[in-house]
Amino acid sequence: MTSNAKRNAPVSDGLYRLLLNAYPGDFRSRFGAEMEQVFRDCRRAEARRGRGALLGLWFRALADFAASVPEVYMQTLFRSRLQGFGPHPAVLVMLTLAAALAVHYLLWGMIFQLMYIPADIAAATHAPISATFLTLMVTTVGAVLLCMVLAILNCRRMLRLRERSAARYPLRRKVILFAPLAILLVASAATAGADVSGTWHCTATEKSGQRHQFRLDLVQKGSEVTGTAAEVGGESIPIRSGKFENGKLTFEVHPQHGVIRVEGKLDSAKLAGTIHHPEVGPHPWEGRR
Amino acid sequence: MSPTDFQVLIALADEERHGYGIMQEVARRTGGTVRLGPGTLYGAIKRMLDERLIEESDERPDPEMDDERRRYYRLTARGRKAAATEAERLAELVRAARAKRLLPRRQTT
Repeated sequence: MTSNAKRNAPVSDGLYRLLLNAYPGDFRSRFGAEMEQVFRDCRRAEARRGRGALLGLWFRALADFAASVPEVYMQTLFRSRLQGFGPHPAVLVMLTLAAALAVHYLLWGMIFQLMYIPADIAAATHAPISATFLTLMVTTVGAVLLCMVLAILNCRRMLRLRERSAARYPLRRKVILFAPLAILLVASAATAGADVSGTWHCTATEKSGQRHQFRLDLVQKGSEVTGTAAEVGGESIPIRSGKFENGKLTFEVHPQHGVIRVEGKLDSAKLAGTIHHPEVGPHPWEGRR
Repeated sequence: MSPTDFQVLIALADEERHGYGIMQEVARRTGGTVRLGPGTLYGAIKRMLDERLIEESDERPDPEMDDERRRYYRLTARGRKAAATEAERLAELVRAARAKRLLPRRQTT
């Protein structure tokens, strides 16, 4: 063995030991020391053949690592299920997917809240690539990566909990395990029912086909909504009895000729619903931030 | 049965071996074309221990490389039977390949 190889040996072995942490705990405690020993034997044998052989060994070790970690995880999960304890792996997969959706939805919701982005992505793709659109894409990639990390951490945690006891683990541990997921889901739901505060550019279409454009300046506090409505070029009229509950917006406007009732549903960045006009009758409207 | 599992069973067919011994035997027998990594090898060992195709041995047949961390593995009767069945299945496939002239026919002496 060259002096260089001798010097690098502890680093090499230490790195491999670090990689072993990615395997499930029970597998690691059962085979970790043996795997380390086998790697050391291989490293010693390859070191005699020179630096190229050592690099080759690391290349093979990394490929082996990438292929075997998911396989061992799946093996451990399904084996635990067969032994009759723990949740079904399908539940794990569903939870991970739910978490992934929650994170993704949360981030998208935040972006939609912070800036105006067309809800229709097809329209966005026809537009020149803007900084906003790039931000959206980068954030989406970030969300996916975050979900992957979350999925791995969750699976690791689940396995660690199982290793401690062959019996069903206590409620407290379940709470610890599922609390982050629940928080994410609640946060996601909160975003889904996001508030309607902001300026909305709206269009109402009467039965005759005539279109009216108007603007809504809304402020939401809890479920109560206040603000003004104004036709383009017209004066602002304060809205009354404004409420936003379960994704549904309702308010009234009291101009001189009667009471106009407005209903709308929030769908990502779009509000759409019906205007009940005392003279014109009910007709649809929609608005975007 | 996966090819890796079969390779490990063949490596253990004639004698008990530890992990590194199995790796060396597989590499030697295949002329270096199959080189099992530690993760793949111990994944297969765990699977086959669970299925009782192999078992741990208390004996230390290789005193030169003895180390208490090394565990030796050997075939169980069930593992030997499984390996024989798999070998028979593969032999049958080879016979079919010969019949279809995908492989040259054996020379009769």
